[in-house]
Formats: sequence, structure tokens, C-alpha cells
Amino acid sequence: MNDEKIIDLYWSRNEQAINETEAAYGKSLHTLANRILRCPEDAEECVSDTYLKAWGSIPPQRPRCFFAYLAQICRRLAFGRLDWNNAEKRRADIVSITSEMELCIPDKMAQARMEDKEIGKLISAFLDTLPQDSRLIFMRRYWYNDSIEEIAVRCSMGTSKVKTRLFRIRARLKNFLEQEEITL
Amino acid sequence: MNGKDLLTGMSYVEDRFIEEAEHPRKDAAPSRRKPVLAFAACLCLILTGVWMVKHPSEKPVPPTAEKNGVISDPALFEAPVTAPGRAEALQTADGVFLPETLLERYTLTESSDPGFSPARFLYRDASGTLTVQTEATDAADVTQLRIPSDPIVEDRLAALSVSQDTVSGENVLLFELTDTEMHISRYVCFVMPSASGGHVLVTVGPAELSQAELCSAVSEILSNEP
Repeated sequence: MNDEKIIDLYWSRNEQAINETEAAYGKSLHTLANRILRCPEDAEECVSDTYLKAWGSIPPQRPRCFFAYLAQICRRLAFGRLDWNNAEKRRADIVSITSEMELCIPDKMAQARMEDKEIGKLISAFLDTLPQDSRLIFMRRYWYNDSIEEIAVRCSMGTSKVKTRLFRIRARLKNFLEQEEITL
Repeated sequence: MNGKDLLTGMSYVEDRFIEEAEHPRKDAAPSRRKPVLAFAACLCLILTGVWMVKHPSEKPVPPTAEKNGVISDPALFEAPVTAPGRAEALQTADGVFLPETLLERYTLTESSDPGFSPARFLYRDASGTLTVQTEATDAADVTQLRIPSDPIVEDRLAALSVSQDTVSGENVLLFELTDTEMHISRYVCFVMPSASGGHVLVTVGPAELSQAELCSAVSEILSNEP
């Protein structure tokens, strides 16, 4: 069933909408949540909560990109569930990604407080400046939390090249944020 | 704001980026466009060939004669000049054009220095990444690159990103070298250890070096070795 029809089911308050969503995107959402939480049970709950949130928000909303809409909810919920203190001890990959992102923040900006939505806008503006292949690598790493090896396979390139590309993209992001902080 | 804020704030990027990363747009066109582009490229080569035959005096002469052991394919050497819209960009102030697809490779003769062997493969792709396939097996060798004591070149090279990769089981070094940098630097010369002993020598750029200049550059590089 295509996205339009699934969304129609939500709008007609037909509970079949959840089953169809599960069939279409359950696996991807579970993978996404599990990459962040590294606990299948927590990931499962997170995905269930995602369906619940979708059920509660459609209608009135009518998402144009249904998968992106669900994935955003799922990612927010997963990060919300993540125990950052324990993550530091147990989740080397999350710590690694967080430190990589830390390197992109200009010194002056480190003191600034920003809403998540503002950050999302800034990153969106930055992504618009990237070529598609770089954007893909950046998003897979920092949005989908893919490992370097997974990105290398997906993009058919060596791990060293992925690392090099990520290094350059992060430098570019830092530069972008440095310019943006003037306007903040 | 810290790394965690940036990571969680990323949840709010626009939907289109999320969708694109999950379902990247497959280049549907290439299957149709590739044959057309290949045909266009062939046509360009044929037309260029005809033009070259008709204008023999204007044909660039690859500087192969004065270099010892140079491996250079004249057809490839000429390719950038004939590439539409690229000739001017690749022309340096002193009229030397830069080979775009195949950069020059040099080997010193055994009598001059048996310790040198050529890099076996060297090319630069459209993104400006210079790929050098070497016999080096240790990533630490990358840090042992030697360059002539040319402040401009050194400055440029210091900013280069170097990484090691494997292509079809062969060790490859990746350098970032843009057209602009190529224009500024008259040449770039690397010397790196070879697995078979001695060194691998690579020169890149307009490559107007005579054999004597090349030897001089290598001596200079090696004399700076710790």
C-alpha cells in the first residue's frame, strides 16, 4: 500500500493504518531506533510509541514524506529515551558521534543556547550547501547513526575515503556555523 | 550548545534530507544518458583527431624526449586540451597545460639511482582527488612524504588531506589537489618509501622538469630527510 493510502486510513481513523505502517516502515524504524538505543526491546517500544504519535497527529497533519515524518518522530523518541549518562559508559558509538559533532561547534557558539528546531533549521541550511553524495554520507552518519563501514558499503567506497569525506564535511559545517553565529 | 545538542537538534532537519538519505535518488537518467555521453565523447575525440591532423603545427608536443623513463601516453596527455571548455582552465600562464586524466610518471634510470621505482598508478578524478597507487604497505609511510623546499608547494601540501585506502586489493594514497593549486605550483614532487626498498618518486603538475632538474629536486628532498 502506498503512503497516500496509508495516510487516508489514518484520516478515516481506520486502525488498519498502524498495520500498514508497520508493514511498510516497521523494519526501517526499528533499525533506526536500535542504532540509537542498542536494545531491541527499547527500540520496539520506541517504534510502538512512534505509531501512537503518528495516530495522534494524523489528522490534522498530512505529511508529504511519510517515512521522513515517522523517522523524525522515532529518532526524537529514541534520543529522548537514551540515558546519556549511561550512554557514555556503554555506548562507544554514540559517544564517538557526539564527539565528532562537538568538533563542528565554533568556540563562540559553545556558550549559546539554541532550541532543537533552530539547530534543525541551521543544519538544513547547511545541508543545502552540500553536494548530494556528501549530504548522503553526512545524513547516514549523523542522522541514521550508521557506522563508517555501513556507509562505505552503501556508498561503494573505502572506509578511509568515508572518514576523509566526513572530516571535510565537519570542517565545512564548522565554517558554516562560524559564519552563521554572526547572524544569530 | 554541545555535540549532544547538535545531534538531537538534527532530528528537526527537513523531511526531504531524511527521505533522500534513506531512498537516494537513483540516477535514472544515466542508463539513458551514458551511451549518449559516451557517443558525444567519441565524437569529440574523432573531431579533435581530424582537427589535429589538419593543424599539425599547433599540436602540443608532449615533453617525453628529454625525460628518462617517462611513461606518458601522448593521446591522454593531449586529451585535456581538446576537452570542450577545459583547455583554457588548464592552461598555465607560461602556456603549459596540465594533464587532467593521467598525470606524468617518472622513473630515474638505474645508473642514476637504483633505489627509485615509479608509482604504478596515478590519476586525478573530477572531484580533484589525486590517487597514487604505491607499493607502500604501512599507513605510517604516508607521513613520510617528502617535497622540495619550495615554500609555496610546502604550504599547499601542508593543507592537503592524505589518507590511505585500498582499491582492488592495492594500496592507494589519496590526496586532495585542486586545479587552482596545480596552477599555483609549478610542480609537486613526492618521495615515499617503497616496499621493495628505496623510494617511490612521483611528480605531478606541468612537469617541465628536465632530468637534471628532477635529480636535483630528489637530492634536495632526500637531503632533508631526518
